[in-house]
Amino acid sequence: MAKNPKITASFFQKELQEYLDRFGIQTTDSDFARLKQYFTDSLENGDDLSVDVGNIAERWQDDVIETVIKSGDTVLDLGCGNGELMLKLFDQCHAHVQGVEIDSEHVVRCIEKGLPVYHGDIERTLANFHEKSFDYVILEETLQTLNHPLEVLQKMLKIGEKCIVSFPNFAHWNVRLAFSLSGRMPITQSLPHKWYNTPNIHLCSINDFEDWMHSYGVSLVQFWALEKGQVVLKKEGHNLTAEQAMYLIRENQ
Amino acid sequence: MQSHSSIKKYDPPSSVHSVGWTKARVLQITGKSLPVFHLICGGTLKVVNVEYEAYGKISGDNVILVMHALSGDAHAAGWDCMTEENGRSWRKKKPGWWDALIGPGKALDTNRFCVICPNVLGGCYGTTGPSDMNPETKKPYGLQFPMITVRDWVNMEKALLERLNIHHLYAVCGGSLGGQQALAWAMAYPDWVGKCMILASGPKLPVQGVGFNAVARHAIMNDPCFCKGDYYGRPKQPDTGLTVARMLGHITYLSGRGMDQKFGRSHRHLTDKIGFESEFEIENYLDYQGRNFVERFDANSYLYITSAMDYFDAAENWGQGDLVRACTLIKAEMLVVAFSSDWLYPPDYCREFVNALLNNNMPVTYVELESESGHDAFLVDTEPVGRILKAFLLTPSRRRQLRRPMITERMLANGKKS
Repeated sequence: MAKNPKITASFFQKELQEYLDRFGIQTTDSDFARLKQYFTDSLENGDDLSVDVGNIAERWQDDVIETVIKSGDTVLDLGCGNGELMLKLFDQCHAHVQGVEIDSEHVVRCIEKGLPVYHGDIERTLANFHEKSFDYVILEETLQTLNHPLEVLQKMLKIGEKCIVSFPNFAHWNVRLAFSLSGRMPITQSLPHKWYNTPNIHLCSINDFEDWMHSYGVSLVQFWALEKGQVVLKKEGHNLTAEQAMYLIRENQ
Repeated sequence: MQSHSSIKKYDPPSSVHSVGWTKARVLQITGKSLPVFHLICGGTLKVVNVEYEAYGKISGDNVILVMHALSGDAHAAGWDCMTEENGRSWRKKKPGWWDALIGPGKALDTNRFCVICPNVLGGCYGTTGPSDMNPETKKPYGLQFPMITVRDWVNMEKALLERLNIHHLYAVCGGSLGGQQALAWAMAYPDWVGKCMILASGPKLPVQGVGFNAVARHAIMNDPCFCKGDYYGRPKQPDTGLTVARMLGHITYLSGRGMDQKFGRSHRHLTDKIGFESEFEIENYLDYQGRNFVERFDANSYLYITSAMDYFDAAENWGQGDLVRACTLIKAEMLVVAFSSDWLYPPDYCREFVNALLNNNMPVTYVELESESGHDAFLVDTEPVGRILKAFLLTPSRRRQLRRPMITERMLANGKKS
């Protein structure tokens, strides 16, 4: 395991500055300035920065999604896993659900829950749906594992009135630090895999995702971030501080 | 490598998981209330007997209709106690064709469900077919038997069920040709069917399969002993043709990789020189299957059943050529299971059907099982198949119709075109 080095006040106040200067990195860059502030505050509070931030709430997205889906909504869950979310959406939100899942064991779990599930690859399956045939198309923690993430996002926007997309934020300070200080592919709680066994082949940051939204004219309906295990609706600065992000988006009309 | 000696363990009739000794029943569905059975192709039959087996007790809505494949019969589970009387000695060594899945505590749990399996019209296992006496000529029908379709089977099954005072099916289920019937049920009588389970099958037989069936029929019809189907009672029967048909069939039921594993290239050396004797293990296997088959199957039935299979086209029959439109009729919960190495109904084709359901905004469950057993997987891979069927049958369904508007628009657009 590549661990983050022990960070001390002295490291941050002197050595990091020298380190950054040596590579010509502008510490006036707003993120770095914020990073500096973040560390200063944390160190003053006596936080231990050598360990990862709080526990990632297990499937925190599900709880949020449940507040979004209303009775009678039609929902397509891409990469539905063992059907846990669909089950809640069906039982508690009274939604109409259909799942897509590639793993055969997960597919059986869905069937055991009485849920309709299509055993197959998301990218290929999406071609089968008509425009606007679902109220919501959900892609939870799966975007970064796709071969063609943009094609999937665009198709999702076509077939869903709205889409919900969540992913681990690769620009979280922890990831940045893990990579720049260890010189190895970052391993964090949101990204627990080694470089060779990670399913995550197309990681992105919040800024990357928002750049895409901007360039493709995607409308933002709602944004949620997970920070220190808490779901927040904060609008600013989340690229540095959010471990995970979730977007409710729609095609620009 | 799979083991060569795949010794199958069957549940003996005394097992708590076996339906035990079974006795087929034969019911004449024609009679006072149904003087003539009308066939889709225009023909009629004055007498239709249906052989069927039933396991488990009817209580409320708990009937599962299981439909057999090309060479199958009504004996789906348990041990036939009438093998001698009915001249079906081959059943002594083996229980019914889906015994691994039907029985107390099994996937199709007979403690809970009543499972009914009829033999198809035109077959040769008790239900009226070309080898039966034509009441008008007092001779076997032979090719005078009217052409039959998958829809006729469904109509016959419905007539049988009504005679048994059954008016709703908890589920319909079948593989291959049985799957075609299950689908036909869901489209022809949507209000009857609660759950529809289709394995290694789809709305039409891919053309490759039609080609294989054509060769099989060619072999039978060009056998010098075929005599235009009028071979009953003659000293020689079209055994050679039927053997070839069966051998060809068996190749299509397996997969290339599966055959490699099962038989390899191993062969006997009957003489010092190479020759044309059956030396390869696969040749032996096919010879054996072919020879066995002629003892228990009627060549004319093979012709009638394969053509019903070839002509079945759900899109044509119920959607004016449009499969999505045909699917709008379906009310049942749909389960489609495909097998990776099936080259009669390859997953691609099964997916086309599932896609048509999805295009209809209809919730659907589709499973693609990894298997090297080819088309036969629905009969052979009983463990994974059983798991899926059991889960699908027992869990209260969590599905609500998705949406309708898209198909309505599409149908309007189609209407405009015509």
